Amino acid sequence: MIIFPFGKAPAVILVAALLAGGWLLLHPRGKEDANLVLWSFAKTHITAYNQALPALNHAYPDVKLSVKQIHFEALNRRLLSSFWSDLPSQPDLVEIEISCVGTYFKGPKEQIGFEDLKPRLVESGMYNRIVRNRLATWSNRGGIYGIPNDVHPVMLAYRRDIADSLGICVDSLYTWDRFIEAGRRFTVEGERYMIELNEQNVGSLECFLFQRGGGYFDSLGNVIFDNPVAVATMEWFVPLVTGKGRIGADLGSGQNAAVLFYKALEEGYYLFFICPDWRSSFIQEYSPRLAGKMALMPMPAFYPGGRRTSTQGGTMMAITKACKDKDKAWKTALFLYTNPEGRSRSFKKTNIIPPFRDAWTEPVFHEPNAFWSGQKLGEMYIGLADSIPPQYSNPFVVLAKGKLSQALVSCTQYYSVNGSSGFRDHIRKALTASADEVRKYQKRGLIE
Amino acid sequence: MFAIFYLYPLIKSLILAFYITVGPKSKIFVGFDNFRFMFHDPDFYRAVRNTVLYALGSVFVQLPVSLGLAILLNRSKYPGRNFFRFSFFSPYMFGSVFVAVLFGVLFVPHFGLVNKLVAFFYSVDIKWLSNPKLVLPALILTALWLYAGLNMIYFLAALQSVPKELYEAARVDGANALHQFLHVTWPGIKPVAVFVIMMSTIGSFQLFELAWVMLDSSPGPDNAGLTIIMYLYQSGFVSGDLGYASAIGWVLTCGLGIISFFQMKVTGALSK
Repeated sequence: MIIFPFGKAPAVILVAALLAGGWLLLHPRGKEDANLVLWSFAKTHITAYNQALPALNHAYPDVKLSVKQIHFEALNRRLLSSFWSDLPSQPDLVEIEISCVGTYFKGPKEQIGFEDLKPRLVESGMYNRIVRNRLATWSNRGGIYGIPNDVHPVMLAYRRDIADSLGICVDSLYTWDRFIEAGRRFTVEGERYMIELNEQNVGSLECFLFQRGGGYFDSLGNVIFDNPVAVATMEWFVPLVTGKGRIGADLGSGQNAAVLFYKALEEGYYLFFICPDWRSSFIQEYSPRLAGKMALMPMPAFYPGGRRTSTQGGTMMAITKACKDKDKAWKTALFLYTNPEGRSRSFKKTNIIPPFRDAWTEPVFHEPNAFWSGQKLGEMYIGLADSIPPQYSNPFVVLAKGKLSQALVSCTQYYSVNGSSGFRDHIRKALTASADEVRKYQKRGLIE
Repeated sequence: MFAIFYLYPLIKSLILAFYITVGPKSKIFVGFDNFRFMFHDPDFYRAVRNTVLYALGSVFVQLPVSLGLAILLNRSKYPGRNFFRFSFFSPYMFGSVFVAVLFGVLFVPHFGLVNKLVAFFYSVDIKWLSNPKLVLPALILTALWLYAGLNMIYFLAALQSVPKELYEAARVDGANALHQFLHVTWPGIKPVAVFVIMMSTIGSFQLFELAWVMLDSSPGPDNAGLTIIMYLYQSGFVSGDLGYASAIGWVLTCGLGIISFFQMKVTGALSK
């Protein structure tokens, strides 16, 4: 009997490794038939694209598209690593989410891994068909690096049945002052809140900041979240989630809280919540019991006649520089985003309106939605689409969000102890300190 | 193999620590600037503070609980001890990501099970993962559930190696339970205890996925859950500054080396 010198366990491991290796050698992975590969993180998008494949093949027989769903985090890590190291494992087309697109713009312009699509957008006439503010998000140093998938205007969704029973006339809530005044009447601390508002993370705050015309960075990349607009927004926001007069609360952040949000909504814990178009489909899917009990209204304005929407979330489709046939990738991307059948199917599934103005006349966007009390949801969002504020991407946007969150926590803590006394000064200091932190990183981290 | 997978990356990371990078392609030599920047960055100190507090929680909460469980379940007269041994160990088999998701749900305010239990005694709605002061306690509690069983197994193995005759002799000499523990049990399990303390400390300093998943891929409110590894990950793989991330990694390595040396010195492991 042969005795393996290192013992039985290593012998078993060695045999298993040899068997597995041998099997892989004998069964090489078949080459994919596809000549274009698309990565996306969004399951709903993947479903829509797979459904559009027959029509795509019919329109462009030379295109053989392979659509791959990759987890959001994994997609970004893999793609960034591929760009940074010139690895060959890059897709031809890829969908990127708004919260991480800035990271792709870090470093020298020529190192950006995406193709600049501005010349193609201008030449094809798409440039003028797309909501202009929506292009800002996907632009950097004069280039446009993706076709926007959406506009994501924001409305307020509410429990119509409860609002009716409480006698809340939503038409009268056209300014935030009026909304807050009503909120103080109808909020019952610990049992029912007028609106779902994030208390510690910046999800809600940034939505209001954008609505007021503020943001993290301006179009030139300067940090602006310590400017007077940001100070005023923070001063307005904190009392809504802190202290006796609060009208808003949340269940924490994250996916777990998001899951329980639907339960909270069904139990009447929240009356209103911030609802970009994509979120409205989630409510339909995860709270089917609320069918016919929900409705939408434009966000109240900060002053009569002011902007009644904001924007939250977003996705673009980009072509990587590694793509061997960019013309083929371009026409495929356009087809996936603009073919009317696919768009109609996608809207019915996701409630997301497209960023292309000429598409807004299609009948699907003007149909009543029974879940939302028969409101013409698409039409309502389209009515606000041209008013969305710009949201400028930046390599330091993740850091900026973290720093704004720290300032929010600091202001909330101050307000809960001291109330409004000296509050504005504290806000200024907290925001300036946070913004300076981002400037410090900016100054250090740019390699142009 | 050692040269390819350990030595080369080690030397490469040491070199990288002296560069600012955007991925490996663009880099500028900055000398010690990464270290200078780190020691002036409040986020770094926040990460160190959080990690140290978590490590202290692990050592001073988790290990006594583990040892207590091990002593309890080492008694032969205890009925169903095998069932309890398995029960306490089983959370570790699920892995930290699963446990993080589970506790993320348990800690949800108003609707979460933890708050439902708290509501029996006090009518407060605790925001465990939204309140900066409660994030670390929530993480320590979660880690206690996750790792107490694993450490209990180490202690159990050590306890079973202590000769029973020593206890009998101690009892004959009139030693009570405390004396038996201090003069028989502890010396007998000390080498394992030192090992467990060191591994828990090192593991605590490597805390990442538990906090990352529980706090929804973020450092939590006011960076209350920011750990050193999270700080390293964000710098290297979100911001793309692999140079700075390498510098953080080397500082962590040196720190762990010093702490381990100190622990071995205090526990007398070095003198043997």
